Amino acid sequence: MDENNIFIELKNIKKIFPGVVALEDVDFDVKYGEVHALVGENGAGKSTLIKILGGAYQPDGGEIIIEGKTANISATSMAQQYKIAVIYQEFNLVPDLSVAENIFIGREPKVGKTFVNWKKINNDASEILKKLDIEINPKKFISDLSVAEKQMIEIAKSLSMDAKLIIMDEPTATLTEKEVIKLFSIIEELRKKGVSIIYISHRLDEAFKLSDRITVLRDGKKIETKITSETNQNEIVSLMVGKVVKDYFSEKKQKTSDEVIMEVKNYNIADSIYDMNFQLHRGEILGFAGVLGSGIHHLLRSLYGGEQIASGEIYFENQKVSIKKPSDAIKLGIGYVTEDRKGEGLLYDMSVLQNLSIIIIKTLTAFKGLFIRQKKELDVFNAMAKELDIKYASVNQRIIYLSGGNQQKVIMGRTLVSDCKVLILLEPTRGIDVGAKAEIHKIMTALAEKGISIIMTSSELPELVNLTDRCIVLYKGKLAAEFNRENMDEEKLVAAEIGKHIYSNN
Amino acid sequence: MDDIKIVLTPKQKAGSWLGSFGLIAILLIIFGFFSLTLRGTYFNWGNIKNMVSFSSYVGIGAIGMTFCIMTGNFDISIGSMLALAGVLGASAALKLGGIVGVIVTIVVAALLGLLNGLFVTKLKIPAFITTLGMLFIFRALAYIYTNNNPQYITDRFWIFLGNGSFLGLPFPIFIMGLCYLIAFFMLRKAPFGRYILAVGTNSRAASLSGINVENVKILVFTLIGVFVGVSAVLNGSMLGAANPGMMGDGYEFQVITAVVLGGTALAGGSGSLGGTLLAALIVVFLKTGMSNAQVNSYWQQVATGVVLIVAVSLNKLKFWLLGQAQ
Amino acid sequence: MVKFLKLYEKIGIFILIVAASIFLAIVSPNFRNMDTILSIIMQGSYGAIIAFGMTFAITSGGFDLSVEAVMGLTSVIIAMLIPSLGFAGSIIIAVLASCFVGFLNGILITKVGISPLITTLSMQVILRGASLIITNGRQVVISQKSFMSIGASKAFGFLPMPIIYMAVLFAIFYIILNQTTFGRHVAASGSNEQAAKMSGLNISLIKTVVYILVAFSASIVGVIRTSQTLIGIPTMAPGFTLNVLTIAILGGTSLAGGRGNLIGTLFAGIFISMIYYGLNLLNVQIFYQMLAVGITLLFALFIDGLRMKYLETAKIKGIRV
Repeated sequence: MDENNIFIELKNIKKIFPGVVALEDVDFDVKYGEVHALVGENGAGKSTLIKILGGAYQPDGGEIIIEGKTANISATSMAQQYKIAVIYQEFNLVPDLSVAENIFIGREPKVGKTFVNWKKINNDASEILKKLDIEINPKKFISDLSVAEKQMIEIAKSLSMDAKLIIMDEPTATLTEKEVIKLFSIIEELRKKGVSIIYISHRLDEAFKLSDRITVLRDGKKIETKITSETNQNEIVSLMVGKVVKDYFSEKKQKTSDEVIMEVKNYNIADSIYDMNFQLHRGEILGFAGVLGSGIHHLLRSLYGGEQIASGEIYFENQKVSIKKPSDAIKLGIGYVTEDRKGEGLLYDMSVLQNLSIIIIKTLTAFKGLFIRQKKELDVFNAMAKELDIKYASVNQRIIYLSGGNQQKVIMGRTLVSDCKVLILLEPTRGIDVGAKAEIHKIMTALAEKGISIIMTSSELPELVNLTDRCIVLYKGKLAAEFNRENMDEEKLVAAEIGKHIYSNN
Repeated sequence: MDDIKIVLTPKQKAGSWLGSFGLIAILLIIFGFFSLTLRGTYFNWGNIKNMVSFSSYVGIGAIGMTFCIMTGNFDISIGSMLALAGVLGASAALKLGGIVGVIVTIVVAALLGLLNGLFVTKLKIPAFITTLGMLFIFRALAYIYTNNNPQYITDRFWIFLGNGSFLGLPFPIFIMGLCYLIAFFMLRKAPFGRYILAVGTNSRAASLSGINVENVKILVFTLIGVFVGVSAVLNGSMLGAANPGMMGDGYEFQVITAVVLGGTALAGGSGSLGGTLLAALIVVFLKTGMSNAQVNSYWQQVATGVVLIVAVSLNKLKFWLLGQAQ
Repeated sequence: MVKFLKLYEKIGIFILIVAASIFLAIVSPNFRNMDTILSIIMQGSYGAIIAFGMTFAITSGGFDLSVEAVMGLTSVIIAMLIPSLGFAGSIIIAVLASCFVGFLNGILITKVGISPLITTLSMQVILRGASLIITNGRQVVISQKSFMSIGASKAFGFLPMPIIYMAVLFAIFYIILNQTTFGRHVAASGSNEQAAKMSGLNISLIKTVVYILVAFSASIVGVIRTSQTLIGIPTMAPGFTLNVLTIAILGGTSLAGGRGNLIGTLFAGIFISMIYYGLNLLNVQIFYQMLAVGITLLFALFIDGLRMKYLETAKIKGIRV
């Protein structure tokens, strides 16, 4: 223990991924018994930082100092040795084992050298659970626990390892109010015991309730660390957002028409969206903003038939329609570009040409859909490639060899060639470098000017601010705020995203 | 067009080479080896014709299996499927003539394949174990239907299919050629081929592109049946009988070996019909050579098992060298 | 539906056995005597014992299709070695050889990364061939008749030894799976391999030992059967693998992994034997047994599929080839 009571210190941490600098020059320290909140917009670098502390990633520069000594967290097991425990959003629990077994997995108390000492493991587990004031039977199976209870077990697990630092990633995203209160009291208990906690959350009011200090990340850099009692939410929000004006967006376009092309009424999706209503106009770029748990992705997937709705109506061109699967949406003229390019978008073993034409391939045929007409396919491809300015070496090369930006263009092209009237874009420029981002923005604007309506989401708020005609913010599945281009700015969006309804519809 | 150069690392170059030329090289090496050691008995035109003809047995069945594995599925019941279709067709031929018999064989096999497809997609049971169960059910039905008696095939038309010649080449070679042509066409030139590739590469992306993934899978299983049916016709013809117990014994293993050796990834996605064909030839050339050299048939069996393990390992090596995600 | 499935998981197989017992008791007078019942249980013990090992394999997230070939290998090794090494020696060598096969399976699966399907399927072919090579294709007769006592004698004059072996092995496997840290780690690997790895468990070691256990259990049955028939058969028990898989899955061990139900396996083994007995009563050909087992497997898979659909959480366990 050194004089400042610092447990762990990060100096000049740097992490680079192909094409993207995730973290640069990050300095950060946590004291014993401190709750240190880590905040920042999506993509600011928080999860990268957690993974480095947890041993899942290795930094490309800088050093980590634990209790005065340089540390090398080279693997997840090393993090354990350093008494660092990470509670990821998707827990690391074994469903078919009991609570006690999960807490002590790999370190089970034994009888002799092989047999599990059930009495001791259950007792020890009970003790730890009691210390945290958690009333869960240690013999219960993890698969029978609720999400909140699983989280408690993760905390108990950390404690059983004598963790000195516990990192919690968005712990309250899926909890009820009551469960959140319970979590807070446990955090308080931990603090009293001298355990350090890094608390990552989008919910600033939580950060302010719990933390001793708050560190703000933005674009991979540490902006500032403030003592919580000496700052306020507005200041933190502006630090998150920054005054930097990003000027690589295209010109604002003309006014959109008043014609409503699509409307959603009384829309409900189980556990995600509640009583949603909105309209989409022809030629409009409508943005959706919201943090984890807001339900945006569920909403947009369902508009394409990728998810079931509990109740509600969709109207397309003034007709009531039913969209149960993607082909229904495609027939109507709705297109969809996923945010998860690798998992759901790229047909990675197929060529650039094949990826572009897959949706409409049946129409590029002769003899009643039997025989693909290569020239026709090539013509369609060339036309779209020119329009979107896709760069590739050969039409037959595998799509995985293209850069991220060009891959995204191909996937967008895939839906565009099917003559869509409405295009749903999720995180259209994620993982793409600045130059390509600008191109995609230009494309989107051009499409809107041609009369195609676009629904988009983005975690990069400047993108929404500069590109959209209107922006709807969702919070916990409900409509929190709606902004027009004129009265939109990042701060208002962030505020609405985290539930502060100070800027309402105007 | 931008000038994006694709520079392959030495590792990737090796992997690529392994893929493209490896099979041809292996075939030539095997052929060369046995020709040199066995000389006249192996290295003669008649033998070569026969070997190619025999490879139609595994080769044709492997077409359907290639499609199946490309979509990320598996069918281990094909040996029993072959037998059941064969005995039903043969017994039909005895009463209604060879042409009917041949048609019945293919149709029955197709229906059995369809059944597999329905079980796997609608009941959501993993393909390998479902078809493992069907393996026994089909075989049992074949026994029961024939009371364990072989069904003899005497119809002239049917006999000709497997044993006759045309333009100096055994007829099965033409049938195999035709089947592969149709298959190439389906895979490369028809939308269906794209769907198979898409479903096998990334079924979620395929679904989002409007493809009915379930239907594609069901159709693929049915196709397995069709091609297995054709193999059953040829096999029955060459043997002169459909034997419920022995017909198709070990067939699934040979077919899977051919597909895997041919370069199709077990994880689904990329597949190579040409590779499958070459692999089927390799297996037959190897087996014939070993038989002619009077290698103990039991050692041959051991070799068969080892070959599959080696084939999968080579495939993994190839993908690892190319740095592709599995 | 969820309630039904949870109930089935606990007592499904018992109900099946009780129902079958009642049915058989009514239909066949023979059934009601002790010898018949013991005989049925003994017939079931062969599949059940191997199914104990298979339960471990499935719990770890895999399976083993080479078990029938391991039986054959054991059989021929014993038959060939008895003249020179005697009973104990030949049994030990045979069992060790089988364990080595299990070890090979484990290495191919964990270190080379070949799927359990291809690995064990190929091993099956290789072992059959090897067994045939060892005996040069013949069946080898064992002339020392006293060898028969291992598998064919009856304890206390009426209790067939295989039942005792089954009981003992059941106890051992049960204790390993449920009471040792190793067994719990096996379940962890099958339940959530990622989490198990992150918690520091040595997955390769765990799985390799599992495959050794499967081969061991298959070898034991090979010893018992060889003893009973006094013949070393290289092609022993063709198709038996399906029996074993059916028993394990019918007994409630889910293909999803993580949930090994040895008690269920035990009773499922007996139940399958009862099905055979019933079919024998009908005097049908042996092929109907094949059909019955195949259909039973599909039924068991269907229930398991329902369980996976309704009881699992959002996490989808892909059973990949």
